[in-house]
Amino acid sequence: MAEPTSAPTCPRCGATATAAVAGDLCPACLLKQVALGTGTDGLPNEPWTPPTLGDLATAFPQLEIIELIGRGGMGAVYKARQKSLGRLVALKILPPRHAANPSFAERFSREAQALAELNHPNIVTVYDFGRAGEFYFLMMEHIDGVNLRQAMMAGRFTPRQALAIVPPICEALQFAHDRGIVHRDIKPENLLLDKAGRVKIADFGIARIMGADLDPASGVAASDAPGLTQDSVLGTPRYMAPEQSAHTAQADHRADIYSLGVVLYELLTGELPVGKFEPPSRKVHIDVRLDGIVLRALESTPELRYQTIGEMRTQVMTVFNKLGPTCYISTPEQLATFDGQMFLWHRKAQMLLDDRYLSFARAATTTVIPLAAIRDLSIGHYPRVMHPLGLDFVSVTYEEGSQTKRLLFTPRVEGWFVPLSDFNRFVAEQFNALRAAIATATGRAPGNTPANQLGTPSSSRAVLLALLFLLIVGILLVGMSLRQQKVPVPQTASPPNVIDEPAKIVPPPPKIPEKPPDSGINK
Amino acid sequence: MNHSLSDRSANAFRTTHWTQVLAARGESTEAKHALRDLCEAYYGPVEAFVRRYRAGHDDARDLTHEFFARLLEGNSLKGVDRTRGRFRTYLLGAVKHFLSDHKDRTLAEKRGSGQSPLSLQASPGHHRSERQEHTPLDVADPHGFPPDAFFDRQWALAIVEKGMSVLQAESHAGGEAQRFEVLRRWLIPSEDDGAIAAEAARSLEMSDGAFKVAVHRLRKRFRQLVKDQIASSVNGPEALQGELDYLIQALTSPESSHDSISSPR
Repeated sequence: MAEPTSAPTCPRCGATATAAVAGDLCPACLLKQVALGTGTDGLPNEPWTPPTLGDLATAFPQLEIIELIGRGGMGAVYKARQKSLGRLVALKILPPRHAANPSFAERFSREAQALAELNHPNIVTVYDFGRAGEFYFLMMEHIDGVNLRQAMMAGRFTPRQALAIVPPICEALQFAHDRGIVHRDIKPENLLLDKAGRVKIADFGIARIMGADLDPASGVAASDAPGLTQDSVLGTPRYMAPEQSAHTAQADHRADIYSLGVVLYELLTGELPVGKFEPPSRKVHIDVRLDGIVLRALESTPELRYQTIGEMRTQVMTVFNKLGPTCYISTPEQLATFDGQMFLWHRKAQMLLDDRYLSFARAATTTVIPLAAIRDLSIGHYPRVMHPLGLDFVSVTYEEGSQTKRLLFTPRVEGWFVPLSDFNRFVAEQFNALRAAIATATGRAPGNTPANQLGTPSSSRAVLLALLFLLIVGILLVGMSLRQQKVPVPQTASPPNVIDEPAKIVPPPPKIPEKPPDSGINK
Repeated sequence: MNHSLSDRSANAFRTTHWTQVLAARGESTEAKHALRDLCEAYYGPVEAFVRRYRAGHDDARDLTHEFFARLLEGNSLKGVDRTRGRFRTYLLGAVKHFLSDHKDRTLAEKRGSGQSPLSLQASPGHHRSERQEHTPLDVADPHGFPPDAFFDRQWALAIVEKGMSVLQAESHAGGEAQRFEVLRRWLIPSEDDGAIAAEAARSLEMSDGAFKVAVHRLRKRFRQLVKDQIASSVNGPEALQGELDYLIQALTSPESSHDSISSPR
């Protein structure tokens, strides 16, 4: 038996370290770990016992309660059948923790009403809510499938699979954020995958209903768990944004962006980004561009994160699939300036077109245009000074807020030299693809303005002057070089500008020696 | 620890032995076996307690042995209150009783020598900590017993030690001795061990995910072992959490403040 010694104390808990018992481990910390239970391993410690099927059958005569399918800190979920409609539903029973609090009922109905309005294909639909007997409940769409945690346990996601589920989550979150609803508890357990592989977000706003974000002034204790288990109960700290765990009342939609960043990190690496963590590409073989996305979502200062989840979505899409070509983008205002005309080629962006959005992702900013917001789509010509023969661009006129904005883009064509006709044909292809996508998304074709009515800015005077200057310099240089040649000019010689260029001798392409057909190795 | 012993201990964890012992008042064969297992598990704390009480004497081991022998063969459980019962409390009471008895007997044998058996001098070659050498002076108990907090602390340590040794034995039996040596450090989670964990995972040629799962399993098993162990010493599962909290208290509260206080029991 080990004797207590006047050994140094444990840095973690301050207890006297007793080396001989558990090697270098502090026995007090070990016992605490036992007391904290599974809560410290990411599973909430739930002192509440969910009601039995019998209890529920009495309270919900209109339902046939089939089984308990899940439980957690925010309640228990039962699979049930609605007798009248014959459809399966998920019945969520909230723990009666706060039921006695008079403000709970009011908050519950307010939040639940907002949730019921969240009608999105990637959000679990709320059919009904209320109180039945002693139970506060939410009746929801039943998803036949697994949650992301279960899916991750079953097998590691490939980076591609991981990325594929992120955009729909972003869309659903953007949809909710636009309506002022923040999820506040995004974690793998709340992301459901149905049999068709569709992802659906569950438990929207439940955290808020359960008062996890109540300010201390309202006097509602966050937890009624006894003694030592207290700090492991609330929320899901590992997925929580720093500002959320510190001042819950201040957390806004950017807290969801952080949580999704944690989920994405975990999907990619199988680990949680705790403490000083490494970028995902150091751990797994993935596109390094993902590091930037994940790390930006995980910025501890909300201002440094993506400001909208739509922006994050676009960035993920850029890595996920290179649908669109690289484009040069500008606006009519930019194109009217010297800078805009001379340095158009500096403003490169990755174009992405999917069934809902047209996006241009640049290093610093991302422009996301919902297809439904596009009012006009036309082809125009760049000012002659930029290309004397007339280079085409696609003009997108769209509404953002109450403003009408216009964006011009030209796809980049790979290759050193592309004939103008090919180039403009490529522009036309992009134009048609975009037009078709808008028609599919909105059911109507956008307006089209002929190029001559587009009001393209004329060539900038500064550019013309610059070109004139270049022309003069060029002539001077040519003249000087001719004088330096000092070649005796025969009387009969024609002026240099009419000398026929000697025909270029094009070497025949090197012939690849054909292999004799029987040279292959027999297998 | 040899294999058969670890097997027996693992069995001992599964049943709440103390409940069994209490129910049968120590009469049935089953109850006797249960009591034997319990005594074996808590031999250490008792010996530490006796050793401290008999500081300066060489008879601690013999006394402890005698105490357990009497406990197991005697009918000492007759008077135990069935309703309030923790084996820890019972055992401490029994030891104190035994030691006072012993003291009386010794004094009777010495017959009027008037000399207290307590000595403040440490006998050379006998390993004791510095704290222990001084404690007899601090003890306020009229019988000169070490404080209860000391015993409780030893008890908590015994439980942790038992859990660890069973965990180790299980890993060794499963041919994962080396893995256990690396993983055991993660029985206590800490904030800043991401990089070290990754390194450890590599040293075991495990993926980070697999490593995490292994740590999770080890923690889970350790929790189970400790909880079972505690459960076997209390009367009923509802007392488990309370006892666990109490034992954490016993380990974390500064020992000095307890050493000078002796709570009457």
